[in-house]
Amino acid sequence: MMHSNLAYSIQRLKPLGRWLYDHTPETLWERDTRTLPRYLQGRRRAYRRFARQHIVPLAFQADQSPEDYDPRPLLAEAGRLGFQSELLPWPLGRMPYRALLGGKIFCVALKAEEFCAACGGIGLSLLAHDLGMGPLLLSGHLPTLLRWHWPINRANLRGDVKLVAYAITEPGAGSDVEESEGAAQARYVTTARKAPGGYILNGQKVFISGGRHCDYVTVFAVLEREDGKKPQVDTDFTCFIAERERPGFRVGHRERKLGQRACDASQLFFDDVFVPQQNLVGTERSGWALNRNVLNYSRGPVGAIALGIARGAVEAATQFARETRLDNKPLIAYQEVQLGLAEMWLDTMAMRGMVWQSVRHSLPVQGVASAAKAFCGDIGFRVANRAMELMGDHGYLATWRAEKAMRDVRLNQIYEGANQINYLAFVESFWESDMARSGAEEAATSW
Amino acid sequence: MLDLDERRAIEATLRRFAAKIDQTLFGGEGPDGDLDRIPQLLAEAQAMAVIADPAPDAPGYELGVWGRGCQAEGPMRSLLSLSFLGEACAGFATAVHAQGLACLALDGQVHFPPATPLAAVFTPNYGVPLSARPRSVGSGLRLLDDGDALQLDGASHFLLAAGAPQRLACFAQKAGTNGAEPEWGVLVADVETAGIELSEVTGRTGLRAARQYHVRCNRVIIPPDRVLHVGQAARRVLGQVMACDWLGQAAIALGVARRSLCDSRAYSAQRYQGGQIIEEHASIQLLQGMAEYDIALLDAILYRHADEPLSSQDTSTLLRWALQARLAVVEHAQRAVTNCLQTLGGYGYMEDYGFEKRLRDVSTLKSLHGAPDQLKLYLNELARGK
Repeated sequence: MMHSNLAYSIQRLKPLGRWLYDHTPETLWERDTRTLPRYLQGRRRAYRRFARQHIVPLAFQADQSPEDYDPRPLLAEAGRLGFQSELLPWPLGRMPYRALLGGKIFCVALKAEEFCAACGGIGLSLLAHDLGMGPLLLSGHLPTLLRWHWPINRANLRGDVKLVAYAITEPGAGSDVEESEGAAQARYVTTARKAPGGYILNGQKVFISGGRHCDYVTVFAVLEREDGKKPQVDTDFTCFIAERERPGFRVGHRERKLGQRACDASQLFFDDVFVPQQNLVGTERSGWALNRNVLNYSRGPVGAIALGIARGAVEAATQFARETRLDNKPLIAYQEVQLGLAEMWLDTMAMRGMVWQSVRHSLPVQGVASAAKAFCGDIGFRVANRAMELMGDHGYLATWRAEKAMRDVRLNQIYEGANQINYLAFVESFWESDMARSGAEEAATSW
Repeated sequence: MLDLDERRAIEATLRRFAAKIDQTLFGGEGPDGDLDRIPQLLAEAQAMAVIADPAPDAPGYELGVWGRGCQAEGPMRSLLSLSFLGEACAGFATAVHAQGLACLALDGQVHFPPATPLAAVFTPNYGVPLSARPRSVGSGLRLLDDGDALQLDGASHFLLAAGAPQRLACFAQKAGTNGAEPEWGVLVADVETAGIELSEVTGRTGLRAARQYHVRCNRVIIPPDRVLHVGQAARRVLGQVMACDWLGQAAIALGVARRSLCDSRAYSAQRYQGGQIIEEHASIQLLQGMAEYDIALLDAILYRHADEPLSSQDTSTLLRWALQARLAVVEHAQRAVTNCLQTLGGYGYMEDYGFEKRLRDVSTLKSLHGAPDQLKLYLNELARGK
């Protein structure tokens, strides 16, 4: 709300002065969008349209009764629009060509924010596929791309849903396989052993997002060593793609979780599952680097998931403050409420800055991606809590969506490596370049 | 004031009962336990004099949570009880707390048969009943005097109860004469009285073992003998009820936080990661160390005046203490719970380990009966002597 005298005063400025003074009542979302290159502006608008038309109407019920929610119709629609095949450009996928020169996953981060602002759980169910496809692309193995990545993209573009889940976490090993110190010692039990014409997989995975509905799994296993020694994650990790119908593969129970409930977190079992040689993703024993790089690519978008959920909470709190009255005035007219709202909006702006900065890098950087993921997880949780607090008793009711945001965003501090692991990944990433430099090196580059 | 032996006896009894609650409620599946067993547990709480009772010959009348005993003895017994019950189930503790608040509101002026379910009605849709900022919002209920009879009108929200209440202890404001400030009244109404509508609040994040309602009164006629206090006396009782409500919430949150840390320590002493038991990892130690600090701080604030008889505490001082404790819930109890949840990684987020329920419960306590910013404004208002 601009003071009337200020509007008058602006009109009194010279034309150039007026032009230099931004006083349009445009939304923050539009202003942010206009800072993006044109090809991303269009994408951001398309994602928001999709979220409002297709996700918002499903959000409440999908959270309340996740077992009854069937994500396939929504996934088919998203697939037809190209949202499930944005990791490669035409003719292999629907990534904008210009993204090849800049941030390759900027689209994914924008999509994550918009979808998750509508519903964290449904957003995750749409985004989990990109994570599953990650190893197929990042293995850098052309036959893998042509055999798997391209056909899956084509099927999704036809509306024939083909989903890939990403399976790494095990009952006894989680975040430790994602960091350097722990990987060598991790108690990893999913194994691969060579067999004529392929490999035999054995083991169990837990908390696999989208595991219930997936058609394929990109699964990591330690490949048995020819010298008979015990295989390790850091030297023997290998990635395979397994089709759902493979004998010996089965989906276990669906976890009952606090939030992001529309997307299942399932157990997967591999009991003597044979996969042919062509199902090897990339090369043998390259899995640790492959997993680490998938995380480098995914952690920025995971930060954007937290950002989206937090934005949803802020929008809910703002709507609440507009519509609730205290002593015949809307809450939003009170200074303490304005201060609370401003704090939340500012936090989401900082999160967006962090996410956009992280996905601008031509190739994702471990430390920057981890920083975005951990920062947004922590701040997102703070924002959702602040939204609940601002609403008082209404904050803990499902009606106003802030409690759902709190439950949803809490997962962002845990998955894709617990935040503590991400902080350490940041340190590791900049250890040589920034943190452990000697005094002489410091002096040589300082003013 | 309770001596050390009495405290130990309370702790031993309540811990045994807490273990029973654990066993009874959480044997099967479901994030909030088997809620059909709550009445059975409430009956046991009544037999053990843990829950307050409106019948003078029932043991809970004096010794139950927020029973008459706290006027002379101080709130220590109630706070200890709620914190131990909170360790087992915050929702059940809230149910016990709710019955106690209603008994406190009766102020010994009226009695009902043993185990009559009651609810105290004093919370508006938004804001703090006694705060003068921006202008007193009251409880949402007004007391109208048309010359012949008193009538209760308006709506009050988010009242808590152990079960479906039969009687309501309502706080309402009556317009002052000749432009004077409105004055408070406290009265009792039967829920079956014509003009009273109760609607249950559903879709809550946590504390699901307790019941919650909105109440709407449409010119409900109140016989004079149902009005317990008017004016300063009613205001004093309301101050006590509000203060004990916030203190009780803080005590329950303390219990939730304490149990979280205990379970986190047990888990981290068994679980390996990166070839090491996780309690040896600095990241886990930092999380648990912070929780230890948060719990100690909440503990110190909560029990600061707990041995002083409630009847001798000045209302403003009592409310300031209660607000400080309640605000500490926001910051310290929730942080302790979420940090402990983090030590379990993905398992903490799933229903099986109980942490997701504790986070939902403590997050609900954080916003229950007052947005923290509104409470901070009220605390400052009291501190300035307004």
